Amino acid sequence: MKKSGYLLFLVTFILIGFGLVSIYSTSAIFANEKFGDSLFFLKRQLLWALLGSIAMLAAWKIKYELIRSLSKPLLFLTMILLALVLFPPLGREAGGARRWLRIGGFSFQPSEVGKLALLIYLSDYLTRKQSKIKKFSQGFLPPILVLGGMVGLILLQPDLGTGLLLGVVSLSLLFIAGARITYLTGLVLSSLPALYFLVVGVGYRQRRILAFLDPWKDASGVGYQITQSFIALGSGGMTGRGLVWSRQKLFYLPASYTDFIFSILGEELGFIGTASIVILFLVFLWAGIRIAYRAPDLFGYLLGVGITMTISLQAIINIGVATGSLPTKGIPLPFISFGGSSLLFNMIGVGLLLNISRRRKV
Amino acid sequence: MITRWHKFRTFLILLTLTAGLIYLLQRLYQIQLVEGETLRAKAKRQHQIDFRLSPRRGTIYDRNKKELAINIAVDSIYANPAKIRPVEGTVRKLSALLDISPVVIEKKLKSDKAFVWLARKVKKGLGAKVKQLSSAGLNYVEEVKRFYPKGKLAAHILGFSGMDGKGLEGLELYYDRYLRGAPGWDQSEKDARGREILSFRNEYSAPINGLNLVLTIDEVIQNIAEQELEKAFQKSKAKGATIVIMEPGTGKILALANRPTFDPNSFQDYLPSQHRNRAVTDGFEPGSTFKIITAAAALEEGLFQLEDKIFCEEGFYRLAGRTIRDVHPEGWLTFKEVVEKSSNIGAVKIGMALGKEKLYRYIISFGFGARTGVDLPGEGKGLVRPPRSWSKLSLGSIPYGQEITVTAIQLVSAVSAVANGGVLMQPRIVDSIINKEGEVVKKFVPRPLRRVISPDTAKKLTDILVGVVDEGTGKAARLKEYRVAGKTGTAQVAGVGGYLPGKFIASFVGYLPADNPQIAILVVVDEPQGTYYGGTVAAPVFRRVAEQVMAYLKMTDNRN
Repeated sequence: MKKSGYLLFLVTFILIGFGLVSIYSTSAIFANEKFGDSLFFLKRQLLWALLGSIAMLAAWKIKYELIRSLSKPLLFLTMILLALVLFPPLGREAGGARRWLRIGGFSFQPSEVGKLALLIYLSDYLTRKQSKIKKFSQGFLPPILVLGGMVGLILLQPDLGTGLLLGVVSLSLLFIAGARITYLTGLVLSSLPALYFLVVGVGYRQRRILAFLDPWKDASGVGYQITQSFIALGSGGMTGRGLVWSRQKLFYLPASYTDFIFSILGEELGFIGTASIVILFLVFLWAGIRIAYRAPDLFGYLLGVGITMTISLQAIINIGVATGSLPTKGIPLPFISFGGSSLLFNMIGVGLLLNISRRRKV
Repeated sequence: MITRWHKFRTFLILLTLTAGLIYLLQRLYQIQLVEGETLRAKAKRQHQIDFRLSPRRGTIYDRNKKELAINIAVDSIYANPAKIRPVEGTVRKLSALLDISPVVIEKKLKSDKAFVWLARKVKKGLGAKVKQLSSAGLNYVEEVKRFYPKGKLAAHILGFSGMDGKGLEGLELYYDRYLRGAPGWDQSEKDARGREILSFRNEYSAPINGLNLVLTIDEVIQNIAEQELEKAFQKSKAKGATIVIMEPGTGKILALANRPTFDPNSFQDYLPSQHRNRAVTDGFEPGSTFKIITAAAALEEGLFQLEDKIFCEEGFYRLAGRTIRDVHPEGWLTFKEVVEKSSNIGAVKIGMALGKEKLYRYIISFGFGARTGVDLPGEGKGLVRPPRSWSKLSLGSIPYGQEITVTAIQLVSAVSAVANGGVLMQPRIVDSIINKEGEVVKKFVPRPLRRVISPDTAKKLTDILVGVVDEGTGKAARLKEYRVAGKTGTAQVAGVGGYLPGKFIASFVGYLPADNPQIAILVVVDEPQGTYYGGTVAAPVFRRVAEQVMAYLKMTDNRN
């Protein structure tokens, strides 16, 4: 393992550490009120982190060649899970969307497997079709159809945020692999009307856009979450109120231990805390890309870039939402937000990156 | 094969993402450091809650520490409508318990707020009963309410305080700054559901309870005065009536009452005119009782001796084109008889002998035309014009108490000065302010304002006033056991364009025992129906009150 691998490993666990502390701090009062156990969320996240560590270790240590062979079965499995999640007994509905699959006592998000499955499939496909990548029907079209199918299923949940994330990462991989810019821009342009319809046609998304443009205009209505996020961040100042001393987590800021955990972190740890998180993700990004640059083959390269990009982009979107730089999207902050499947698959992703970094270029 | 091109294109994406993260750093800097101050203020505004801790209002006692105004514990009942199921049954039960119309309750329970008051300051114990109906949706808090245990007794003295515990009338208003105390504060923070977070409680200051008042009023005397006044008020079907009892030597008010009156426990059910303490706010033409002042001035100036003769013109006296009449026409009367028989013409002649300036000086000296400074709100001055604006007719009116207005408190104070040997005392209604341990915080000692006549003049005047009761117009005020000094008054009521026919103010002012006065009493009956003379309407009230009060004082003196 190279220097970048160590760095990536270290950064990942620092972020997970930040996450566990923040989850406890933000959820304790709510958990105590709802479940009579202030450790309710922390315990669950710890369990997932443990599970994630094992899975990460497995992804790290399995035979490198095995990863590629998982491409098709994993894609197939994902599609089935994404289809199943849309149907009631299996798919659990929460907040008007079916994103969770209940298996036994656990529930997890198939779209998280989907991210990994799609990255492995694309990396494998683009490596195999390296020579035909400039062609349309033999090169460009098949992965777009797979992507389209998966994003389509995800949009049915509906989960526009994850759909967009997958789209952006996939097209970036196609771009890196050398697909024609004309095809890519053509695709983007032709999907714009659909995107417009998806945003303007759905009431809550349209309101979110309006809230993004001027949050203080209706601070007690559509702008509530974002303005409460500003208040949390702003009252943190330079050094913050100190761990556990957030006021905004006292039900002022909804989703304070999931999608808006960063704002509470900013209130408790101040600019020093938030800047540290951003810098940690910056280090993660650069270390991940460095691992990819030294990958043994194009498959590892593309997978490495894909995983690094997916995780970094989620961080950017999440923090972008918290700071009002992007309209509200339900994207968790990798390694930090409460949420088992997200943590598990991000850790598997890190395991795969470490696996890639383990191999020398042949 | 990983080519340079792959790496180049990856690098473009890497730069884009890096730029994104750096932009976020800049955003965080902006929000947390540049706008931090503003946002912190916003945060504080939404988190902070201040609980006002209400102080207990001071108690008002009579001079024997009997409670006249107290605080009682009451329940205030509120609901969280969303948690009340089923609504219909609960509405019925609540309506029965609280005695509020089901329509009103149903409307309140249909509110989408999480908190609505159902009933404020209702009987203690009702809250617990209501809570049993729905422990989730109904609850109550204990509050205190001002309560006047004696009902209407001394209503105009006490006044009342509002729902928020602020004095609005009477002593409640005048001594509000002593009675109200100071609220305490509990500065804390709340969560988004409005609940206080105890670990963030940062400042607490205990409320300071109000101080208690001890009045000069005696509840028993007040009760006697009110009962007799009420009887006379009812019997005479008068428009209004006032009684004031003062201790002449000290200026302490022992009783003060007006009709019409009100119940301070439900003051909002009465008209503001019924709240008004006429004894201190309203001026009236005193009529013949004012001859005491005219006579005092003439005696003090040495212009007349008691037996000096004055010709009373057989009841008709023309002055500056107007005829002054006496009810009972007389020829020659002594100075003493002029007062006893209440001759207006005689009084005018005494006034003319004094002249404008001297008469005016004594009127002012006796405290008319200015506030007495009694510790009650809204005191009026009465109307006394300076001599330069008197007309030719003025000397033909003022000596017998017309063309001038006085307040009851002024008149009783002036007569008290005659009673006590010539010193005008500051009238007072609060004796002391005490704290909850009963220690005196502030004591109001009797305060002489000035000597208005010599003891000799006072004595002569008392002899005359005893004559009024023994032989003159005030016979109805006579008592077996005590020599009573007093004077009747029957004033016409002035209206637009002159005096109104058939409208009179009947009054009697006097004191006893004449040689060592313990009480001075003024009775004023405004526009009585039927008989209207001070000697027939007011003097009997004086006698009945004087009799009972003296018996009571004798009893308490013996006991001590």
